[in-house]
Amino acid sequence: MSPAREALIQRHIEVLRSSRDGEAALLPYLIGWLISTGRIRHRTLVAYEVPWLGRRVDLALLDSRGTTSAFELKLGGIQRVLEQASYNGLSFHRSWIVVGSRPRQNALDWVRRLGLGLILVRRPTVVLLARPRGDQPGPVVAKRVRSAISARAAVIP
Amino acid sequence: MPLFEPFAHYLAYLATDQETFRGLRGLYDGVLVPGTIAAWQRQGTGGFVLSLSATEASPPYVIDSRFPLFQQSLPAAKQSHIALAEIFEDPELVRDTIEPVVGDFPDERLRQYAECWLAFNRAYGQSSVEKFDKYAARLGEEALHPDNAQTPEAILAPYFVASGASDPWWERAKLMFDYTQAAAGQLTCLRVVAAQDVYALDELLADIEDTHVVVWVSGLDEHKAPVVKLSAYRSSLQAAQTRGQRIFALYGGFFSVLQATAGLTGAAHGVGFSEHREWRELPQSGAPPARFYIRRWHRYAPRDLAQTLWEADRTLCECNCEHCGGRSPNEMDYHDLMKHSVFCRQQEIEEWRDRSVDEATESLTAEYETSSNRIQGLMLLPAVKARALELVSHLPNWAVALKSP
Repeated sequence: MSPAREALIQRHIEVLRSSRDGEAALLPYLIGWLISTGRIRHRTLVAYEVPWLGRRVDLALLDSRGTTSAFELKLGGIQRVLEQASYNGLSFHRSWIVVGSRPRQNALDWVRRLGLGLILVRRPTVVLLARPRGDQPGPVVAKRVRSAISARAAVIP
Repeated sequence: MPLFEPFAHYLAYLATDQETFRGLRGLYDGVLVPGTIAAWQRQGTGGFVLSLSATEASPPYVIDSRFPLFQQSLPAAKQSHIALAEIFEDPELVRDTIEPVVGDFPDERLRQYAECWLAFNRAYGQSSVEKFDKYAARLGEEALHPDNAQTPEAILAPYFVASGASDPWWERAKLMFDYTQAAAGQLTCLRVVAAQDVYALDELLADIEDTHVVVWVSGLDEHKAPVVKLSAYRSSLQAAQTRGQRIFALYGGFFSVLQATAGLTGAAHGVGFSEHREWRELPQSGAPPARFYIRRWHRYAPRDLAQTLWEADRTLCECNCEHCGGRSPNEMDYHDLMKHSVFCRQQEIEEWRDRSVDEATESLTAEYETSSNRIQGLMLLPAVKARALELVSHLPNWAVALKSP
């Protein structure tokens, strides 16, 4: 990994040092993985708890090309986040679920059917189980999502 | 009186909805101003409501005292609650911990509240005009003059919520109305009958001889209420109609529109929400998120869910009104969502008010069968499908309730 990426990870890990409870405990590993795989770069906006249509998206990214990604985190069963992630897929370019344990086959089938991404965090290991289908939300919606991420990007959980 | 000209479509005012009120003039019949907002945002609300009332369309307005706020302790009292208490010249109306009892409202205090409320209503057209010009300009009618501003259509007397005719609060409510009416002189004064639940309504209405009454059944959620409650509401309205009483509902959704066949003359609703209200204040964390009104099911749906349905089967929630323009729920901004909902309600009133009970029942039943079958056939997450089916679950209940008794 390049020194620049390592520095970026360090910067985020510092921010997330207090994230030890619940789903937030997955964040440092997830962020490290997103940086190491090039999904978060220096100019990527990273926002937590982004308000969207009356809900809050656990983690959202906006890259320099305007692509938006939503991540819903869950330590246990994923039925509830499947629903949230399916909704995110209507507005974000990419919608991900991040889990702390391997989902059952039925849930995996829905992940594929809905075109969601799936990441398994078995601390400290992070495994990519499914890549998201790239969606193309309408320009008006995409613009609103970008604004929501930008407005929240400076907020640290 | 417009409140009692079927089917009167009133909108409850909220400052964030001004654009909707302006943009949809002609698609509602009047404005219901909550006393809390009239008191707290006195000049802003007054300027807006009065400039609207001075236009050629001049929708009438009434001010709801929201008095049951003071029938309970308010541990998290808002500025608007305090401002309303000041209108009644009694800051002690706002109690943070001790629950008020009937004995806290002796005759003299009721007389004071009645007189204060009347004075507030009488002066509203003159004392709240500081911002008249600003709002007149926003209406695009700068030639409007404050002298043309209207007074309220009627005085809605302050009231208490009661659980029945033997409830001591009811006796207090009746006395407060008598005082208000006495102070009103020639002005039209209307009683608000606030029932703690739907089963109290008939008894309360039967206990008075008023020919024109405004009603509020606390917490009557038309979409969630079981058939037995919906039927009780309809029976109460029918009984009132038989007695010659004309009834307007402070809160109501599409089921209330259907009650035109039971004699209901009109109903008010908030823009985007507030088709029902609990009399006890609930802790709230701001306004609810904007939702999309699905016309064929006569109800709001969360935008996420509406968007999912729109993408799965567009015919379920597609709308080509001028505010939607065929756009998806997620593409619409807040004000378009609000305008769409008010537009739909007015269209519903025009399309349904003359339908017989049999026609309405048939339509609701057919819609339920068509929509639930379509939803069942969609490839949706089980949780999403369950939510979608819930969105149509009220339709058969409404159909059955319409046929009662």
